[in-house]
Amino acid sequence: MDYLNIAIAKGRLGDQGYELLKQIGLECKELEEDSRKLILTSEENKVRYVLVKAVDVPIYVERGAVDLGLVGKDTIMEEERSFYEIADLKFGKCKFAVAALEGYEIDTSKTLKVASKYTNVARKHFLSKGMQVDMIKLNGSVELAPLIGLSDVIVDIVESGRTLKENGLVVLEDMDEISARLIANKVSFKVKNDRIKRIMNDLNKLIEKEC
Amino acid sequence: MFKFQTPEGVKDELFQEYERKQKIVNDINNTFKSFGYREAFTPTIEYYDVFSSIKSTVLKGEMFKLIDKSGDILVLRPDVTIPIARMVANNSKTSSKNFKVFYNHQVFRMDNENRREITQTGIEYFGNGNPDSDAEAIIIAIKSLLKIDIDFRIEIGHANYYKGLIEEINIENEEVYLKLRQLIENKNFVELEKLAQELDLDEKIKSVLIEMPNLYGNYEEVLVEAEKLSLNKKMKSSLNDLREVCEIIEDFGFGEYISVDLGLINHLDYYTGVIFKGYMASHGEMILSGGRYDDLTESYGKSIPATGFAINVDELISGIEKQSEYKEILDNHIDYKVIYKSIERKAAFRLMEYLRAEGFVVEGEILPEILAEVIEDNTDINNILILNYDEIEVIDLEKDETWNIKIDEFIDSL
Repeated sequence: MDYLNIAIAKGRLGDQGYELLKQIGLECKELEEDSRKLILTSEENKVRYVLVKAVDVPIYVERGAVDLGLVGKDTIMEEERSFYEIADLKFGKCKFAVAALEGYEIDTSKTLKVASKYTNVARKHFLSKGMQVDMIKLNGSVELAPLIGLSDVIVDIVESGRTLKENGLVVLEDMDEISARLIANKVSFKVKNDRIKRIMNDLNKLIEKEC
Repeated sequence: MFKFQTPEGVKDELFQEYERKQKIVNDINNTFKSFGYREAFTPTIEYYDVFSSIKSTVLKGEMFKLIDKSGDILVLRPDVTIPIARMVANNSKTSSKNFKVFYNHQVFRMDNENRREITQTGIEYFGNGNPDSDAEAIIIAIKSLLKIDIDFRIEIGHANYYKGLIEEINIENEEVYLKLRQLIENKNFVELEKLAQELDLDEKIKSVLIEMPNLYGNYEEVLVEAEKLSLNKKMKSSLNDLREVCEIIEDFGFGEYISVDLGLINHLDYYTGVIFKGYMASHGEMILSGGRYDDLTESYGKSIPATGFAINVDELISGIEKQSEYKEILDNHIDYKVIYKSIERKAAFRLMEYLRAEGFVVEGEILPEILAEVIEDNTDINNILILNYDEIEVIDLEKDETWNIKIDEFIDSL
């Protein structure tokens, strides 16, 4: 049997996802050890995990470098690549939101300045309302932008809202809901269908039980 | 120094790489010919309107555009089927009913990430609207790919199964249809179910929508499943059509290479019947795509049923490179390199032309000051002949032997 290759991101999303996959027979001892290796194999379960940066998971899957990928819906929406989205893992739940300083009101007569890590998602959101915006791409601490006058609003993922609150920001508008997803390369899905289909079913059952 | 680089998305292909590509294309084209298809050429430059005015598989933003002296917009050929359809429609008054064409062309797409110049080779079959012509196109596709010894599958769908389903849905919002189609095409099990549940639809229609991405696999099983879900005549007749095509392919002996996927619903404005795609087990990208497009020639004033497919040769080759067993043809290119002094030019030319007439590849060079350099730089040479009046020093690089022989004797020995 061929190996099943799965791209997961380092960090909380990857760890939580691996815990689920472990429960359905995709355990990989090597992954649980503390090492700097990027490719981790389980001969026993015929599975190979590839550790990549979260934003890179979609392209690994699209190009068929791996068969499956574990990634947040936020990254899927930002990257807009072509693959099959086969399961909602129902953890890592949060949502996209537009936020601004408390008391701020959008002035539609001026070009809105928007700061975000997710420029593609943000641009599309405002475009769907017929608004052209001045987009500012940031790579972190997005909350800072309105405080310091770099932007009018931000578009970011909001989990509990604590970070916003502590910085004096409020949600102006809720956008799409986000959670972790399992995605599959279109060709792998067919070639390794028996295994992938079983993973889909097992995962869905497991998640239903947990909820 | 960007002037010395190629622009993004295009590349030089040198010797072995290009020769291998040509060999693959040639093998594929010989298969096309053996089924009675004849080669045609369409211009590299076309009017923008040819592609923008009809529903096609080409995105307007992806075309390379030029302005003609008259102010008309021209494009670099972004697709071959449309020009061929135009050509066939124009010639249909004088030619026979069935028209079988193949081509081997470059197409140009202004894509930011992928190749911008793509080698496509494919067939178009005009004038036959029956399942046997769909089956013939798929059989030729399979036979072409078998000849280059790769591990592949052909997946078959039908435009009318989904179109039939859509007829049952009565929603004003155009965006919903677009979204549904994208979700089914991308087998987005998660979001499709969410969206279907939100819509104000009959439960029966909802359940068919949610099942759509699951309708793939062995054709006999899938068709039975899909039959149960059919809601109207259009859906049912698409399945009958599909069944017949699959059975013909089975009778040809190619049943093992096909499977069905009713979630294959790309370019529905363009395709009117059977749709198919080909992929390799070891490669993540599609290498072949095709289908029935009966409405296209109508745009040129004459309705002719048609089907066909195109192979993306560049994608095919990257797939082959991943299949490690593929042996590269590393033949030495030059059979004989003849080294001579300028006063012996006449005799050298005579010898070289004689060898060429025998079918050998021959290269000539004037005796350099340091002979050793020529002999050392011999990576793709089989034999070196050093001319010395009526004698030749033969260096056989394969056997690593050297001997002297008279010219006449050498010629006799061939």
